[in-house]
Amino acid sequence: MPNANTEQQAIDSAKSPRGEERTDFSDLYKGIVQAQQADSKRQVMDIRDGKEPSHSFLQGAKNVLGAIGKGAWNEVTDHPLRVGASGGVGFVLGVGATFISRPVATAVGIVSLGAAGLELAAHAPKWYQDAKITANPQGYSPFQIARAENSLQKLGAGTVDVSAGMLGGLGGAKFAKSESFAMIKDSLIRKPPPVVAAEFKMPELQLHRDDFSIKTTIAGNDRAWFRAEIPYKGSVHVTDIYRGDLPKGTGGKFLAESLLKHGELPTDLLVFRGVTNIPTMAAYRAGTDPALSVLGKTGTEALKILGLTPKSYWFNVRNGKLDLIITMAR
Amino acid sequence: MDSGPLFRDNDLRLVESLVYDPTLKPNFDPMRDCLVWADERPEGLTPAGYEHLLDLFIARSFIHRDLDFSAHSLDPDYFKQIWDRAMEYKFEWPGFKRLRLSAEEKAFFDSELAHNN
Repeated sequence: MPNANTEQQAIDSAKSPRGEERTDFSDLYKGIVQAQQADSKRQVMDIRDGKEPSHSFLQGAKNVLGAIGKGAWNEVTDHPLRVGASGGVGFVLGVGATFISRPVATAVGIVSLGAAGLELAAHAPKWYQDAKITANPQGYSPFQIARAENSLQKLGAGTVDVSAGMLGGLGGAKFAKSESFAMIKDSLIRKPPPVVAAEFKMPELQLHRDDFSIKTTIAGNDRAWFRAEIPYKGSVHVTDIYRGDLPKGTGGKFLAESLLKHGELPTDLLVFRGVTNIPTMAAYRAGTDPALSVLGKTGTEALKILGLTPKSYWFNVRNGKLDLIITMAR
Repeated sequence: MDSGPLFRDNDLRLVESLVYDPTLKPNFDPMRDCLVWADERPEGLTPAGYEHLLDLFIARSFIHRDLDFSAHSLDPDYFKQIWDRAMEYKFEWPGFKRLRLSAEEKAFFDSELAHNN
């Protein structure tokens, strides 16, 4: 702000020699402008001399934060749909990120961070200049000041949109891991079992049992073979399931009917024991949801037929082999 | 990792009671990507004995595929130790007579591997 004493001198000198007030204020205006210019020059000299400028740092920070905050507030109140859309896009991207493999997600993250860094580097000098003008508006034209404030307000608005997108992304990623999403995904995305499985009538099963296991074979289909151990009632550990000549997509049905006829329902656990096939090990290494592995789908299909609801799927490495463990919802 | 014989007591008797049948055709185990013949699996093995039988099937599949045991990414040592124990504590098992595949068996194995993977 101009020095008050200098301004008062300008007002005094604009008065008539006789001390009368004049109605022409052009001299007064010129005087005030000269006083303001002198005040700005004095501030520059103060800085060169190592003195504190008469305009305080706190006031400058208040001006800058005020402009950014105003832009942010205006964005929320004037453009709530845009903020919501940014959050929505972030949410969708967050959910989508859980569908891609870790290496791809990491690569996308690095590219995004690089792009954000370039964007920041490109705009940072402009924002710094605008902040300087807004913090110490003396010596700048009203147009320059208005333009700087406007730029900072846009920065505030953009920050709100980016923050909404980031919060949406975090929310989306969290939602994608929830049971609610798993149910929606199951009903919308998971491929329906082949039609043949629904219409297929299982041949008569031959049941066998010894002290440690239950087994199933099919007459005329020498390669069809099922074996499971029952450590305790409600816990079924499948050690072998060969479909043999049964049609593709009927493994789950073969498993379900075997368990049903043996009277051994996996009400607590269904475990596929000692797995080392290539697709399951690849799914394990890639961090794929075990429910989406071939055996996971076979288990899900069997449980659906048996009227049981799976709660969680996970892999466990034991003695050089994988166990796929499915727990049941109570 | 345990040491000593893979099969003991009744499990060993059951395994050694198996009779080799050279006329049998192999079956493909889709849970482990290996070949199994019907005369190689006795009834009534304990869970520990059955797991070691499965380990033998898997270890033999490395030999069938001409792969080193260390190629197994989950545990490069486990199946070598299983096979070493099997060789050290000699026992009769029809599966030891099938370390080499006939051309027909090889073609079946390759076809099943391609079909299942």
